[in-house]
Amino acid sequence: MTEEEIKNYFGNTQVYKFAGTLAELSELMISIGISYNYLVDQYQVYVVAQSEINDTRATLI
Amino acid sequence: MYAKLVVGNSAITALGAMRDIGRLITSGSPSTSLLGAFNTASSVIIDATPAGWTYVGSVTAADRPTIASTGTSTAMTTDTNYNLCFSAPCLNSAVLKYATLTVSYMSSTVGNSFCLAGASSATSQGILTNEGPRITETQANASSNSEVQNAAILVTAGVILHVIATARHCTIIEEGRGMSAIWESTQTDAHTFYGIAPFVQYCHPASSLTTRVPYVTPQATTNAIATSIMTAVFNITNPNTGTNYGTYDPTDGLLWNTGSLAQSLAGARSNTITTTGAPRYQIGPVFYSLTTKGFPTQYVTGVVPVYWTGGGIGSSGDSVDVNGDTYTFFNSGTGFGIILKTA
Repeated sequence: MTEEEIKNYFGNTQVYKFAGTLAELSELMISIGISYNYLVDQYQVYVVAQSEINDTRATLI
Repeated sequence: MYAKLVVGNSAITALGAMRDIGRLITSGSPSTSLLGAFNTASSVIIDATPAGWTYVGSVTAADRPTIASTGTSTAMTTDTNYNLCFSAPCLNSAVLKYATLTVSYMSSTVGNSFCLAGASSATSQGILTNEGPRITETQANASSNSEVQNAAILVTAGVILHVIATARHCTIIEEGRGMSAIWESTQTDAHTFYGIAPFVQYCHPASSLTTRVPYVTPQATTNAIATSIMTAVFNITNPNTGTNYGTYDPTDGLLWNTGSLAQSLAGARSNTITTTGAPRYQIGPVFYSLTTKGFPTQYVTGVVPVYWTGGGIGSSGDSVDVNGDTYTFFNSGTGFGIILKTA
């Protein structure tokens, strides 16, 4: 999927590319207390959350 | 469990309604004594068979580790998120399906609507992974609430909610308007291989509308929402590409993703006639298919005792005989009706 398709999939909200595994993502989001939805494409994790993700592994696309 | 919940002459807060529903579906002996917001004189538990859902948690401290008691204030603070999370086991596997109730209008003054959604997991702190589509709106946007209400369950004056739940499903029907449901479905080999729970979120709070909310995730909105259908399956991996969708809309418009979810329901809810020309109504099973994602047809009917039928063809509570089994008809508005067994 292209990044445009991934943004469309999430409804064009803020989408982050996460440099880590789903287990690491889960650990991070539970530690900061934010609900989230993910998509994994070509082993890359993309995530949207109910508020901003301030972590060096999360980059806005 | 089947509870007919009456709001009464004055609106109640969404938080109060959510707590009442939560207490009922998690109780071992559902009764009106568990109601703190709905009108206890008019509401009635018609089938007190325990629903079999388990309370998981909430973002609200007052609702941890258990749902706040009936005497607790249900007033809401503006622009604050409120949810209640639940789980129930699936029929043929050890995995759990999750459901959540969330305040839709985050407003202390017009907070009279909420959403039901599914999720692939939840924590005791109310943190959800892969929650299905729903909408929220802040106090600042409350003036547009008449539009957004199309995608939410209302608890304004005069509303009656029918809450039917077993371990296989949780269905909330707003009398004469629409319905929202979390329904377990048949388990396919793909579910077994990936270890995921076979269930679907089908929310259609205003059944007269036939267009869907174009999101697969919870969304805050500042715009008028003229659509109503919000549906998703959870944690779907396409075996051909390896792409893992946290949520996926099974009515995404692709012709080869077929099913009977309501926007393609025309054939299943049509009327017909007897040989003498008298009106007769059809019923149809609930099913969906995700063939583009490697998941074959999955039936809800057969796991959950539910069928589609015509809208407005009777009164809620009417009995319908389906091959010798007694189902109950529910008036979910003009778009379609549904019939369910309550236990």
